[in-house]
Amino acid sequence: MTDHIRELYQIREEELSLSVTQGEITEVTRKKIVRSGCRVYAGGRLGVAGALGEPGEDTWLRAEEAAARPGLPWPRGPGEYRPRRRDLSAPAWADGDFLQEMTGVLDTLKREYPQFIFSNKIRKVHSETRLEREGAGLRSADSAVELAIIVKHRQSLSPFDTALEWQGRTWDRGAFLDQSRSQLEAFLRPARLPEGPWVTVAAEPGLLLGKVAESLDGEDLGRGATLFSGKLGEGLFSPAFTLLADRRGEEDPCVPFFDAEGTALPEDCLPLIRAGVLERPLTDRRTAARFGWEATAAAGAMYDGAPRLMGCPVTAVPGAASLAELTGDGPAVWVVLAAGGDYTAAGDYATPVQTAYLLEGGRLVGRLPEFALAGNLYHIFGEGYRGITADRPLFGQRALVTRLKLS
Amino acid sequence: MYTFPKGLYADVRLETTRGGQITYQNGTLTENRDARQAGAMVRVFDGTRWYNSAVTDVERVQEELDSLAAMAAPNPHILDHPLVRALEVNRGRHLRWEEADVDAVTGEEKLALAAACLPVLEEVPTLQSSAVTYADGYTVKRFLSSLGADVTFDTRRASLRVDYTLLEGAEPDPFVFRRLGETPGEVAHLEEALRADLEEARDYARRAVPVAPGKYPCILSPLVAGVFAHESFGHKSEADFMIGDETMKREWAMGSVVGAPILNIYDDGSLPGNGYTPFDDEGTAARRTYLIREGKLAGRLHSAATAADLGEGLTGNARAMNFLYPPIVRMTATCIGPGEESREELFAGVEEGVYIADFWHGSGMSTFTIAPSRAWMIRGGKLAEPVRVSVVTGNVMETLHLIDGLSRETDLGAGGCGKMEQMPLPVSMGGPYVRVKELTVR
Repeated sequence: MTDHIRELYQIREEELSLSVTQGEITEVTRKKIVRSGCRVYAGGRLGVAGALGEPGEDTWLRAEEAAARPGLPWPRGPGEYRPRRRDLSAPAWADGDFLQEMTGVLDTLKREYPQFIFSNKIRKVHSETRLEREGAGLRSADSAVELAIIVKHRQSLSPFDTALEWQGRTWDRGAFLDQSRSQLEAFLRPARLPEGPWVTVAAEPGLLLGKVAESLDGEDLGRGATLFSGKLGEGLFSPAFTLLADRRGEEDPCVPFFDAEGTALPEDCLPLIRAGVLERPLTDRRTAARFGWEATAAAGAMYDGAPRLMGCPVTAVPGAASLAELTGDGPAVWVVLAAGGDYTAAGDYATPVQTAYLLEGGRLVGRLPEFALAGNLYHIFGEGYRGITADRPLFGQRALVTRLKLS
Repeated sequence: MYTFPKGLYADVRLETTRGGQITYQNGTLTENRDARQAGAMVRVFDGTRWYNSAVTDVERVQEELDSLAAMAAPNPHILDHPLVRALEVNRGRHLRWEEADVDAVTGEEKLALAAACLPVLEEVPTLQSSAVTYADGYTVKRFLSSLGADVTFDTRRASLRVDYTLLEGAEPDPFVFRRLGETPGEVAHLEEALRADLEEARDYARRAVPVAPGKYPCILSPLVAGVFAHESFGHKSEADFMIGDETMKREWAMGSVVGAPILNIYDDGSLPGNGYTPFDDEGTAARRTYLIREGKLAGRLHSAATAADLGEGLTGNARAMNFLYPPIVRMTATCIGPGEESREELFAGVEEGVYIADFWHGSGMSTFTIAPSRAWMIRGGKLAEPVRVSVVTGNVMETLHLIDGLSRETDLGAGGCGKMEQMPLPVSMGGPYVRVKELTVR
């Protein structure tokens, strides 16, 4: 390898964003942004300079200057990678057609549910991330449609009451409206909380997975600074719980198959926790080398910054059971909004739940009053863990089902 | 400078930013970023809908203006539209830092500023991991509109943040030490403050026990009181939640009693600090807006759209995170006004309660939340054992009535606020020590 390498890290995003006020699209914002990071590896150092748009020679010169002065030591040089392209993008959707489609969706919601006010954001985005040397390297492209509709009942004193969401590579108007109707009908039927103290809870997996992902940070784990330090190889959780570092893009659109150093995963995913056993932490190349672990594609970077360990999307592997099967015959709780809670350092979790629905047989029955949930990480993903749904009952997303304590 | 389209309102916000970030992770330099960017947000309004575009090639602003205008429907009465009539037309250069050399502190000096924390961290035998991050930024904005506005202003920010994890007991405990200011000098030479913070954190990690969940009288530090004001009432004061909502308009009528008579909350973008916003992103000048005065609803925060919809005056709160976003209604520097008691007098009034000294994050709707990073029990009016708390919550409209003590001493902290997809927006938050009769602690 030569001692002087130029590398381009570039993110191209094209977005159309619609602001919704009172069920009307009141703002149309378009963005076509190219962020370019010029990296120069020379003399055991890394120099980075950024530009919005395509970089000119002046940007490369700034990167050369940054690498030449005492600054960022980079003894390991750049990562090795074989050229590859992956394009998961859905067919392009013309701006005018998108605007017309979303206007129609909002018109339907307003017509069918005049007692609610709909607001917030809708957007479609296409992104491409590149990491290249001498014009060859890695390219990952994808697209997504996202709806984040805040719903407020006209008689409510809360700024908002519930949310209708969609995030997917493709758009399914029928599925979105069906799930919206199911939720809004349930909202209009007040329900009583199930008998506690323990209840079966279904939620978007990210609500509870954050502490697990945070505790898998390789640098911290290796230094004895996370809950999982010293526990590699140990069975910590339910045999039903398997967690992947996941760059397949199946659950989260617009995730590149490589990290900011160009590291990719075999088949674009790798188990971090397999059947409850802690197998490996999240690492970038530096952390992997320091502790003798494999790199798990968890380097991130600002477009004009140096790559470093920032994390990787994680996915809990679904089982074979549906939401109805995982929640069983008895009542369960579907959490839509639980903002502000957190885990303590010891893994104890508590959160208020602002919006939730009663589930029976996997169907939404009615709206629950505000309440609070509590649990411990090792119980949530251990004895209490039921699994990830095989079906996608949350506006096209899977749900995590576990047992938590009403408080 | 630009030819604005006829029959439409249009504005252009040009932004240039330079700054950087330095990070030492576990003593190793892992980031030394020199960031420079420029761009523009171009907006056109036809009386029904806004058409916006974010561009990085500022030479293309005229082209974008023309392109957006082609999407809009020209409106001969646009100047009579209530929103357009509400807009201020300010002109001039308001550059606080024009005389200062914002590049006077060199990259090497900034590296040394951050590196000065490393020996202090090495003194701690139970330190498991650390990340020292210095960041700064200088932004100049120029706002022009088809009404004739042409105002240029600047903002400047610097911060030092030390994240560290200690292993004093069975489980590692994360902590954060942070200082935010406007200039590098305000976050330099903080080694003694960091040393004191580490000592306090070690004691906390050694002795903290899980709190017995329940309802307690609570005293909030000025920083936490600021978050409380921001989350509990500030977000509810953002008038975009009220557009076209008759229920909210009735409930939030000016003069309604919403809190204890000792309570005053205001928002003021002219205050120097993290939330300093001399002009908002619609060109409106900053001013102090009382949200609550002596326990009664006194005002709310507006963009031109919300001010026009509610028939109220502008407040300078239409803010965007950067040129990539159009402005929405946001807070600037949100503070609780001081009271008449001393800190000691506030504590003396609590037989058994909880003191919330610092926090990880907060949120606010009908129920507000604060996730404390450090908290202590209060027993017999004195600080007692440290406690581990997941979350402190309360109903906003009930809790504001339960405030029964405010200290004379105040402080102004800083943070980042998230709303819709725009996060983090720099804001200031502060106030006195605040005593609340009852909050739910878990």
